[in-house]
Amino acid sequence: MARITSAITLVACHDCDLLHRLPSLKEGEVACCLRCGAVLARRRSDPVVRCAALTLSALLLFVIVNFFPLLGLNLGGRETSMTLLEGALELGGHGMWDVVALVFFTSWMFPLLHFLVLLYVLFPLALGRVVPGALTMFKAAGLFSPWGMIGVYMLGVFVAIVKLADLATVIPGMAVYALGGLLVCSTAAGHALDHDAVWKQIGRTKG
Amino acid sequence: MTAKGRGWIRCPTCGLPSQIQDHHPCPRCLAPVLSRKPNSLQRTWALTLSAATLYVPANVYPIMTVIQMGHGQSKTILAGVLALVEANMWPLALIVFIASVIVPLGKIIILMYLLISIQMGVTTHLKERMILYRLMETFGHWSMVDIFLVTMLATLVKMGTLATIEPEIGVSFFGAVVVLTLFAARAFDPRLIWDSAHGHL
Ligand SMILES: [Zn+2]
Ligand SMILES: [Zn+2]
Repeated sequence: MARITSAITLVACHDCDLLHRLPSLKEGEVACCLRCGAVLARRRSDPVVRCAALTLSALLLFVIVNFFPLLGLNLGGRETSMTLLEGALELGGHGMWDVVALVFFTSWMFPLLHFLVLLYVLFPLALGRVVPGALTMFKAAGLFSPWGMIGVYMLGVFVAIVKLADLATVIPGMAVYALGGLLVCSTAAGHALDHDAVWKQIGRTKG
Repeated sequence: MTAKGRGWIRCPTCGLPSQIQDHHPCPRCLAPVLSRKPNSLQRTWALTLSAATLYVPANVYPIMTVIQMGHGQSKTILAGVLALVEANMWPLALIVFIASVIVPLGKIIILMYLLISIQMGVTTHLKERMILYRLMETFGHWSMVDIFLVTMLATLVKMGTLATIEPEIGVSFFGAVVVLTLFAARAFDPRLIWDSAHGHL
């Protein structure tokens, strides 16, 4: 079958700026830059609905994470425990507000804002509606996403569990499992999202 | 042919290429466009050198004090790794070593190498340099592990003289290093590698 020539779009590589004339991709196809190999476009089977559903699951898990302890410690009958937020704010008691801000934003605030903002844009979009402020919100999602570090935090949790096992009895809380689920959902949501397809639908020109 | 060479600009926000001037709004997402990141080389140098400078106190000062059975012991990042090795926790020692030493140091070295090669107009190893750039982008934020770890330990281990872990000033320095390297990587524009190799810097 002959390709429809009008479907050819111009794409510039984000890593080396080389211009490409891109034919329309079939589902699951990936286009790479001829010069540097960067992925230029990837056609997803369902660019919006799957991402919206996964982000909603991540948000619900985030709520659960905040109502349960993440880790507990038992040393000779004395017990301590912490939630995600308590862990973020702890160093304030030592006057280290710079670290508090860093941990609070990367492990709590930015992931939460990222989920909320994405849902605000994607959920109505999945129903075929563009909400007011969708452009600004989707731009904000792009700003928050590199600063959310739940995956790194999860690695920190594992290291803490193993390290503390020497010292005392470690009790992984409900929140650890919820956080693990959240990580899976948000990673899958990131892979399911087709940015270009969303920009095409919420943008001012159909480009 | 690059977009810039043809008078096109790829919108840094939504990715749409269009034939407009710097600072004009993108026709699709209305964000102002720029064909290259502004003052990328200068800003990346400033942030990288600041990170390199702060890397010294981040490693010299202890990141935490471990009080056990009444004895207090301050630990630097490297001492923390060595303690894990001594406790025969090899995989853990490796994770912490890679995240806290290799990643931030590697990031600083890669950025400096990329910056110097661009400024010298090096025309070879373009793909290899892109691989280094992508490595840095992919693994850059993993150096946060130690910061998260110290905050978790300090929150959990609070049992008086029996066992207490307190954060120390080294965490602040190390946090600053991580944030500076993250900003440095954002300020860096990989397209300059190709511009410079083709004499268009
Ligand atoms: Zn390219
Ligand atoms: Zn745009």
